[in-house]
Amino acid sequence: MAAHLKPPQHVFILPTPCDQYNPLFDTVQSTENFVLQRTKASKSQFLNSFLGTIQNVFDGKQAPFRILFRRQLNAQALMIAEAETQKNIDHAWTWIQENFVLGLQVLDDAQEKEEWVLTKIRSLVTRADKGTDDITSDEKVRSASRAFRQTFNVLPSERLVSYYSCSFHGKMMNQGWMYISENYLCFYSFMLGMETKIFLELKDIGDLQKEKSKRGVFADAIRVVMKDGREYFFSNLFHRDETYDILVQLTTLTMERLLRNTALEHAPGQSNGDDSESVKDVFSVDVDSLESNESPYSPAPTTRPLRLGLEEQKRDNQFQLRFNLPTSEHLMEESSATMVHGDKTDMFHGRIYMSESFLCFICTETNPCVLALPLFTIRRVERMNSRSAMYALNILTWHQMRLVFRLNGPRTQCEKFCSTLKTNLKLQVRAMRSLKPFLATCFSEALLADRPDVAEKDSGLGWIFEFPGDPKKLKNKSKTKLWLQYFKDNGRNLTMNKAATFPKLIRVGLPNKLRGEVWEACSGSLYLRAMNPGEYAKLLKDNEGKMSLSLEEIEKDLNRSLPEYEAYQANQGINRLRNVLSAYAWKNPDLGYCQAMNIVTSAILIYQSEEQAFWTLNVLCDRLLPGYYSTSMYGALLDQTILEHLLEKTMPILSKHLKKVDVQLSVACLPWFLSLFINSMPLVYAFRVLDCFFFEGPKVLFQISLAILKVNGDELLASKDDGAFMDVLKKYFSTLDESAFPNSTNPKARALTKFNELMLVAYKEFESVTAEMVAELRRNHQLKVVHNIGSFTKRSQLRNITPGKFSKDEMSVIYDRFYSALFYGRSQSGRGSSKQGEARALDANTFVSFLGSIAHWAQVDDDQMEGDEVQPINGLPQHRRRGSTSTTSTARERRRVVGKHFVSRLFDRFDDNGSGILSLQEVTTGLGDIIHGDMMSRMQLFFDMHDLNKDGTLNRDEILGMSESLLFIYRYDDGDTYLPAISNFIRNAFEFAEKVEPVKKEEFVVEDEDEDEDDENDGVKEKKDTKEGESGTEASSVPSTPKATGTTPQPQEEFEIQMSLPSFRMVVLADETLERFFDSGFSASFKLLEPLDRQRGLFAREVFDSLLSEGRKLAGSIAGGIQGRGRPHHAPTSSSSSSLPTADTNKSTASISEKQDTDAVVVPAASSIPVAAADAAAVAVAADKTKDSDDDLEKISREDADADGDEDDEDEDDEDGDGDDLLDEVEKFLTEFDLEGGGKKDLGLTSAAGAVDPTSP
Amino acid sequence: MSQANDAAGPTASNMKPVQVKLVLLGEAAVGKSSLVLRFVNDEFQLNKEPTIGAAFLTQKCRLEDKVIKFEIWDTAGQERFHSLAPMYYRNAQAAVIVYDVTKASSLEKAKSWVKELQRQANPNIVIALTGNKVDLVANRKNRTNNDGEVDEDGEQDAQEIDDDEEDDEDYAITRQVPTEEASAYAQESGLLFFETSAKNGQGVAEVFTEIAKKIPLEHILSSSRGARAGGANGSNGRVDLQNGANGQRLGGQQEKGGCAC
Repeated sequence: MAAHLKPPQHVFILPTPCDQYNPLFDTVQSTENFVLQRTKASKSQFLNSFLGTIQNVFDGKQAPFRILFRRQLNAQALMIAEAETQKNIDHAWTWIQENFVLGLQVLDDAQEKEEWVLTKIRSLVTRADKGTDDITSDEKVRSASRAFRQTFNVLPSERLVSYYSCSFHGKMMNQGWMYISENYLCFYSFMLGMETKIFLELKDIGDLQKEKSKRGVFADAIRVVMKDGREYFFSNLFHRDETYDILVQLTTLTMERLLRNTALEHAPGQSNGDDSESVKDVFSVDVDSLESNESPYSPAPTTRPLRLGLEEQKRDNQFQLRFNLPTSEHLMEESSATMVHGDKTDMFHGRIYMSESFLCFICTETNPCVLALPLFTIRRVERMNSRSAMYALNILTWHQMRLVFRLNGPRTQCEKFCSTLKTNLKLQVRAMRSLKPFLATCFSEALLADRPDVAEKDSGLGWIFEFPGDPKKLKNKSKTKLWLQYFKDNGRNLTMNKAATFPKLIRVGLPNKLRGEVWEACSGSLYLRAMNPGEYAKLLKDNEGKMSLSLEEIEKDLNRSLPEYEAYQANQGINRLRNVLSAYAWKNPDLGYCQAMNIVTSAILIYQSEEQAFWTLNVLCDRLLPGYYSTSMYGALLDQTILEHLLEKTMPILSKHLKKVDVQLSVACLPWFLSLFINSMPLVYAFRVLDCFFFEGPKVLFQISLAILKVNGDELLASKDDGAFMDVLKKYFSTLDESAFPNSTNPKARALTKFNELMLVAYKEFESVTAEMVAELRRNHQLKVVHNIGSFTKRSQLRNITPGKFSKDEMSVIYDRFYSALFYGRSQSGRGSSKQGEARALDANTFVSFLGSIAHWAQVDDDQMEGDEVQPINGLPQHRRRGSTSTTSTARERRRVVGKHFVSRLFDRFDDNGSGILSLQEVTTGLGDIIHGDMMSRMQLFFDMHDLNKDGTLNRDEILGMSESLLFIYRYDDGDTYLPAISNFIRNAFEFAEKVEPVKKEEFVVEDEDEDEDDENDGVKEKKDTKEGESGTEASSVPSTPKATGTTPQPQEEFEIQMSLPSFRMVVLADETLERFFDSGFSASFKLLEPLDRQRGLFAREVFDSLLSEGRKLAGSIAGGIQGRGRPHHAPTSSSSSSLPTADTNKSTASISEKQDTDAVVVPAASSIPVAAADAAAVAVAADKTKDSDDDLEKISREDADADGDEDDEDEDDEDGDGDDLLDEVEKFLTEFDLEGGGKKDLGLTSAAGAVDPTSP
Repeated sequence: MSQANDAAGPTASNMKPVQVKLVLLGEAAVGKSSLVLRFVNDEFQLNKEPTIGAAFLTQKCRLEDKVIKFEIWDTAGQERFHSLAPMYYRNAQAAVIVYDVTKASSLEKAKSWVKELQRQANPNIVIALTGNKVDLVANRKNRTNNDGEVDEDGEQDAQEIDDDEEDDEDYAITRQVPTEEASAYAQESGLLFFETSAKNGQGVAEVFTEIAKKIPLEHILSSSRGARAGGANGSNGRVDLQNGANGQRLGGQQEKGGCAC
């Protein structure tokens, strides 16, 4: 038997050093190598609360039981297991004894022993807990994470990011711990018996503010404002800014998921009818990818704490933004350094950075420069002997530019830098091959080689159709000359150093032919194009002939993009535009196509080739204008909010005026941002703005917008409505080429156009608007904007739902729960795998969590719907991957299966169109039918749901299935009302159902009573560890498996039974409890407006305690009642469905004992309805029994009944407070009770029949 | 039918125009912008740049003794611009919801716009439901002139919609929204109803004329501009709307060019 013992779940932890002689712990057992300890606190209530406070103040909570491994090499022991319950720890202890002791005897060396044990434990833990914090390498995070999960009963997969000591200002100050995990912000404090728990979902946070604590002295507080207006104030945060930053980062990630979740459209760019292809995630800030270094094989080593991953991600983001690098680049090394450029004497002091394929240098001093050098453009690197610094790298670029970097860091750091560089350079050798063909597409090369042009396909439409504007007026020639010189001095395209003169050259406007390439170099799309050769062509080729919603939308707009430019009146221009837009839609189907992209793209295509434009569009949508063109357009709305904010700060009078006359700024400004001024200003000027925009980023848009408002301030102040407002601006844009000062006597001033003036104002007066400021403002406003979008989406979706009889408030709750289920469901099941249309519909898994969020009984573990994986590991006994923190028990499994079937049938029922997914409307209608239907309709619903073979009647198995479903739904209710009711139901059902000729005799396996349990165990489908001799009977967990074990080998008259709907109704109406259930109970179990506690686990203990005492009382009373009661009854096979007795509970209890031997009281003589009896057994209330004959009854069992019964044995002395099933607790209690009374170990339960009295004869 | 530009000129000078804010809503590419362009400039562009956010245009027209200045917000039709719409329809006194008679789904979208406006917008807003592109489904008689161009717009002449012309064979492109269906819906929801062709101008002027008639102009005139937000007078609006729905056909026949639009 021992060999079958599974290692317990969630008990073992990664070995953690700890003190063996802790004053808080008593040693319970110990062997040579292991010690089992228990907290002193767990014994005494008072001590518990006191110690709890201490533990709470100093650390997270500690589990009351633990097992240590005694190290022989070190005084410190290693904690290898801990548990909340004695039972769990005992299980682990036994397991250790059985699996380790022998092995340890063989080994002599202490070191070997330790390693052997540690390896085993580690593999056990990492196998079981992939994706949880139990395997993070940081011990503190590990234990905090356990405390967090125990306290808040979150899923094991929820990863803790960080935790901080802080205090919460409620009615009083509570000192405690703040836990921040992927999805939640929690607070726990336990002060002298007073528990404070706060559980906030990150997705519901509406605002985060840094604050000073109440006395206003310390800047150590954060205020959290929820969407619904609730506020929480946390202070005493020693790392306030860090906490704030983490919260901002996490809420940002959450928000992005939220946006995807509630988007009105889903993946419009995905191919029609192709739903197998996985969608690439736009928001690739996937937390999972942080652990990509983890190998899929072997018990992976420990994972890094999530927080480190998040920090790294943030650092990488900043690094990528600073140098406009692709998102595939990660910061690997950095050092302070001095750059010497070529043979010149200029020195640049700054920092050097290295990523996988770039070497970057930035100098922010008086002589600023920015350089991002792809490693594949480096021809040669030499280490130089230098006097001033130990390490100097002499680099020769592809363009023969010589750069010397002196690293000014400690020796080891420099060495590491050099060796990483060496490794990275080697990896880039292959990329060097594609460099030459790539450079052939760059106009700068042609310019320097004094060739006039590059190939036509590699250039913009302007080469063919002329560039807008007069080249002479634009001083094209002289500008080109300046650039030529710049390229000679500072390198070009990929190797270009952006030196001090660079911004000036940009601001005067780029020469036509160089414009496309410089845009690329500024925005970083040049790197993307260089590093992904062929991807553009491949996207087009792979998706040739496919259609999507986005493609249809693109097609509509092709003729409407810069129609006045000649190229777009011809196929050539249209085709290029179509290619670029479709390629992007294929690349990013979640975004697809947004109107305005056509305008921007058609403008870019004048200067860039298709491929260039494609990559520039990528950079635009992903980095420069994030969220602008997404389905919710939240980025564009966010920037409008920021613009309003900036206007208020910089031009308060105008801002006030606009508010007064009720003009919304965005009506005018939104198109500026979305189409980058292209269809607002004359093209020539729009391109000048674009020059600056690609170089300096989105802040330029703000600067120019503010400048426009400023320049036109007087006229705008005079306008009284949005019509006038629009007219002013329209007029202004059409006169941009006129002189700003036509009356000036100074000819230079007169030559200044309005556009020149605009640029001057933008750069001079709004210099303070920096990229950092914009980023900061975006962070501060994003949550509000997203929630506004959310509530807008909600309103507009609800408008289109037929609510049935649901009130507005109820609909709102249904909507919230619906999307909440989707939100968390998505995060569970790997992002990015969603199919078209699924975004707004529940699948089987999310339906479970949805239902769980409105009905208590439907709360089941998240993995309920998954088949449990059973996998053999290292010759260790089988065990499941996941489970609750308690030992998995068969009964629990069983209940899951029943629950699963019930919920999935409900799912099918709701799924009107059989699509396999549920829309909000389907869910609303389905719920409405249940909640607002009448009693008859609910009975019909249950009947239909359990009539599996759809023959219009319920047969034996179906009736039992029904009773199991009822048990499942009732399982949190008070046992003494529903248990008898359900046993009644079964009895009556069998009694009043029509009997028909037996169909399948072989269904019933009848075993002799004398054959003992082992045989029965053999028949068990699922292997489980049952304690020898204790388990009565065994069962499969699949309900539909018709298998029953009987104990009395008597000849049977087997009838298949059929219960029709009317009989079902009668049976239900015969029982008050059931009647109430169908009349109101079931519909009332759906709680829409009252809060539903999702943390049932928190209360399990209390409820259990009360149940236990009530159970005792009940059992006692029944036992008492039985004493006085009469004898058992007749054999009622003849009873027909027409004569249903209006029996009270007691009466019907009696009626179950059909076929009883009158003397043996409760033993059904024949097993014609063994199942009934057994099931009754499963649900019935215990009574004190002493008779042997009871045995027989107990053994008439059907698998499910036994499953429960068996569980009881297993849970013998369970103190499980962790949400383990309450019904089991009752049953367990009953067993204990029984054991005390009768001392029979194999009695899982007594039956209802038992209640009739075993002691009476 | 006289042209908008002719008429607005002389009258506009001698009286203060009443400003009416009007918003155009509807699915992408149903012809909202074209409809406005026809109304404002009496022209038709085959390739009109899509509207980003919203385009703003104004047009004056005369109704009896008053001059009305329509301030028209022509919104973007693409679904993702939907969340921007409230910015444009707030304070609007009138809305034209456009669908495409050759595309059934566009009527569904129109209905959801109606719902949204009735709940979110100014309670007295005058809503006109307009089925555009009827030139594409004109009957056979006219189709003979047509080469059966499958482009957005056919080449037919103006043709007054005839309710009897339901025979399938008569359609150049199959009509997907029968006039009766949309008309019944409009009546039931208290909307004005029209069928138009921006391409040939059919019915366009009527849309604006009828709207102008239904709007309580005196109220707007008497109240200051700032009070526009409050919307028009209370209960009258509804009643007017009902009448409007019933009388729309009359409007089409009698009032041709009544307003000098």
